[in-house]
Amino acid sequence: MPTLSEIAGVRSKNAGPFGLCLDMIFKDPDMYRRVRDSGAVSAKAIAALYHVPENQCMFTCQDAALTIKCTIPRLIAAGTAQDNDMYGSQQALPLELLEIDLP
Amino acid sequence: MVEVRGTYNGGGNFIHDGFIGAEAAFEEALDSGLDFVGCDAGSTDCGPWHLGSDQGLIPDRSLRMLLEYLLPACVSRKIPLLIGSANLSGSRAGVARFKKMISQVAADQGLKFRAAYLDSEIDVQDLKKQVAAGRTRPLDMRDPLTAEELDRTDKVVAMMGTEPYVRALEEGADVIVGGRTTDPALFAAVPIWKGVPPGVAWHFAKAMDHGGTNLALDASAMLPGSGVPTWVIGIAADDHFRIVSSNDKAGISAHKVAQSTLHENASPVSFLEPPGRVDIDNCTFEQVDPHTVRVTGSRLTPLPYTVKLEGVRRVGRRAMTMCAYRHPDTVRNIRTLMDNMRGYIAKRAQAQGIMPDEYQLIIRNFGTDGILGPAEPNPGFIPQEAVVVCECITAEQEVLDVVMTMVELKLHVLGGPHGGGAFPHSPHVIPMGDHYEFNVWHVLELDDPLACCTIDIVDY
Repeated sequence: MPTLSEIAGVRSKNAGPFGLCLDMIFKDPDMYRRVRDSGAVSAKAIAALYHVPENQCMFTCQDAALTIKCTIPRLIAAGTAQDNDMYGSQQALPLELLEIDLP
Repeated sequence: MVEVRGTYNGGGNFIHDGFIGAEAAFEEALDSGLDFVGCDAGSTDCGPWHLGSDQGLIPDRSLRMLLEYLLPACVSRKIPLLIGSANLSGSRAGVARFKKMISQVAADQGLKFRAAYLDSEIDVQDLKKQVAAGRTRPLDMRDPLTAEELDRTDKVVAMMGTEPYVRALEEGADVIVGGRTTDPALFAAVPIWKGVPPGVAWHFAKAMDHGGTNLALDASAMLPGSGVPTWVIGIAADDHFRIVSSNDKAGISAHKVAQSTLHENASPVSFLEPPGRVDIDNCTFEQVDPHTVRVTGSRLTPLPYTVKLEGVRRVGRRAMTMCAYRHPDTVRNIRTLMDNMRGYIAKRAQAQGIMPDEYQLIIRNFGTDGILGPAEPNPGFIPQEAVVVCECITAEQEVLDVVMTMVELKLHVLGGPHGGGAFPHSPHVIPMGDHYEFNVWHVLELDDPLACCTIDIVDY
């Protein structure tokens, strides 16, 4: 099974100091629809990867942008003493490695 | 039929060298007949220290160089220049710093123009009254704001919407420098002032904001001799907006324009701004030609008017030290060794009368799971080298000195027979000044959008 990073661009970035957004950007419309419809990428899957409550994950598919976006709470707020990734820019890897069972 | 044409500065967050090598492309855009240039100089991404300390990101020399180019370029063409969130945090001192620098450049170059300086720093005592009146609400699952929390708050800024900028434009301002401002408000102000419907104006602005920079980078990359700078121009009209590249050598794709709402935003299909929620889920992104994308269907759903508040509290004094280990036995056991060090420091500090609740000791292990923590997909990995960064945060400088010296001395012997840490710096302990945290992340309801700011008009 391919990993998500083999299919789409995956990036992470702060959504304010208390949130982290994970953007999955596709080039090919057909591949975008197949992944979107596969259900492999979901709030539930991402909540499990990042150890956050599923009901605090905002999961959205934007067809016009060929993009799936999920915004999750940060376990450690940006800029607090315990934070090791202030921009949240190195948090994509767990999602990049997610295996996608394409229909 | 109204049409408003705008562009943005050369780099995200008013980067000081954003124009170097790109002047010709920028001036080509200016000469295409622009109604405004917007520059977002702010961000919270760099952390709370900038607001707490009033320190910006860009040194004086670089800021002066940028303004020496940007001010005459816009003023001589009579194109309004809007700079938002001055000095990164948009604090009062930040606006004052920009004002001082702009005044110097205006005098040196003999420039004649009207400037408006917008200050949206909020008095903490005044804010207590708003909290008591129930006019604040938390964002992102924060706790509600209280008078007690405000008592330990050092500084609060309100993110302005378009209204203070529109007022300054009505006053004839050629150059507007705002304190903290929502990124899109800078780009929506002139379109709204000229009568573009708010839904179109705000979506146009979001696309032009940081997304505009990304679009331009993308467009530049598409040039035959890739890396040649181009500029992206936005055109806001009655029932649509268009994003076009400033020359026909560069391309803009509909998907990229659609993706511009992803930037620093929780949802890709809607975003909140002071007057309401901007919905773009029913928008059409049409590729008119390789250089032009046309967007229709943007809507604003009005909500009670709010401004976002950003505030910080000072936590204490902070210092850090870092070193690295190479011996496999030390590297393999680094986490246990550091955990043991934490207990050792607690005991030794207590022997000098420093209780555990008087300080925070932060130990960062880079090389294994320092970045991803519990989400690390490969937690058992043993690296070749281990990097540790240790910090202390405490109220008293003396406590900081005692704890950090203990940490430094312990790191010297951490590897036992395999040697002490490889330290890259002398001194090993590096002072970091004051440490701040964001503690105000709320919205404030306003009856009058101008109530959160003061406007200072200066004629040069």
